[in-house]
Amino acid sequence: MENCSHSNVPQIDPSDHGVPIELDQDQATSEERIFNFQKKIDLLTRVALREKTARLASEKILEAKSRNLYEANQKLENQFNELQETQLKLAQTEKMASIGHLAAGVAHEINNPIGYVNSNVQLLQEMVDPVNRAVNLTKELVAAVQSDDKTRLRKLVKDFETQKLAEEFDYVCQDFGEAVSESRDGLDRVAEIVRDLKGFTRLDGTNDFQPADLNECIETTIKFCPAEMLLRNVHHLDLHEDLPAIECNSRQINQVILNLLLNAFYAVDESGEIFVSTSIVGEKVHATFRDTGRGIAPDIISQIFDPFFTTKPVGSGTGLGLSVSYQIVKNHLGEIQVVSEVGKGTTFTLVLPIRQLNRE
Amino acid sequence: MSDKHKILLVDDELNILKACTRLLRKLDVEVFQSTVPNEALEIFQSHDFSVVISDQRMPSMEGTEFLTRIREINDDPVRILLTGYADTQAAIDAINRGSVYRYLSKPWDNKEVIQIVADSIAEYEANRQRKNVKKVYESAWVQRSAFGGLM
Repeated sequence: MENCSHSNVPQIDPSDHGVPIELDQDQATSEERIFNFQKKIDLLTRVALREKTARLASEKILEAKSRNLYEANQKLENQFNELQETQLKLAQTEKMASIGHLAAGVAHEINNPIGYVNSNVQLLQEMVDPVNRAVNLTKELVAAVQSDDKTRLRKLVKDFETQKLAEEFDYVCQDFGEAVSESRDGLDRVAEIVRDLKGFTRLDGTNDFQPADLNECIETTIKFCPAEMLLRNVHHLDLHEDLPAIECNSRQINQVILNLLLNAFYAVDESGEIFVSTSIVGEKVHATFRDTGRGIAPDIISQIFDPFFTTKPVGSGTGLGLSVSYQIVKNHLGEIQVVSEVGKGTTFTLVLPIRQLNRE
Repeated sequence: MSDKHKILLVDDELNILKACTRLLRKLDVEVFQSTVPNEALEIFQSHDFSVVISDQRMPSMEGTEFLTRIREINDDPVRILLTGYADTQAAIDAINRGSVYRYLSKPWDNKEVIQIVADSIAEYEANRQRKNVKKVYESAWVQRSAFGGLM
């Protein structure tokens, strides 16, 4: 096997090549050279073959790997789609939950006034009898006086005393007015809640967009503010003269302006001031409502747009003002920004696009 | 006037207090009212009440908590919880815990309120008599044992 011990050549059994190993010395060099060539060729062929096998194997592995990768990718994509669907469902669930929350809140809010209005009306109904008795008694008294029937008069007066009618009538007179006016308060309150709630529905022409002058909206809305507020606080108007008309539902925008103004009036004390201004910023108009009131604490500022969140005493605020405003402005593809500092005041900025270009 | 039963009403909505007070006049009772639970606790401590009626949802204190505090001060008055739409569970829990005798839901029926308050007054009376009998019996027992000891 000494022939095979060429330094560069790996050990290969020459017997499978069918090449004679014992050769003549004369021929040896050329024979050997051929043999060596042959061997080299063989070897190279084998190396090439092995390389090919290796390459094929690695290609196979690569293919498997890339198939795996593809499958993993596919799986990932499916999972992503699933996740997206879940997210959509979740958003819907949350919406439904907030509607449920809203409904429960509304029912609770409405049950208070309904409670006392209902109780008062029941009492009023019970007063119908004594009132009828009083009317009849008066008629009889007048008849008795007119006919100068002294016996009848005496009897009527006696009845009046024995039946303690004076006491009953006093009671009716006192309670009647109170029960009626408190009931009216209650009904106003229910109407107010329902009116505020309309902002959450699209029942009354929410998509009715017409060009409107925001300055005019602000000026008319200020007129609707309670008189004592207008008298008590100084309010400064700085309205941009050439403000373009904006495409909006002006009834709803008025509602937003009213809410922002009422909040500003509510936030300031007697010496407080309110500044209202409008401006053009690119394709949008800004209406700014700044007050020098008590400001909003940082821990509650994230809640101010939540339905039924209110800092007012129970019975005086529905807690729907800002959340309704937020809905309206969102529906107008605009936004409400708020900056506040406790003790210094709050600025609400109403941002509305001039044109409703992206509306479906 | 002092022999009339005293009733304490607590609700953060003044109009509810007014309506209930007007209604309870039928029962010939003396009605005290407050829109603030903490103030109501002070009123509670300065008079002997037969019945306490409290709203559940108030901004400074929940009705169940208020009635539990009332119970800790004096267990005798009969406690009634007035609930709105969403807090029926709170009322059930309060009844099961024994901190509330009855509950009324808004909007209420006047006749039902009168009935429940009248029942509560009767309950209060019955409890008081039971306590008196017990006291009389106990003192009699003490006397007898003392006498027996002497014998």
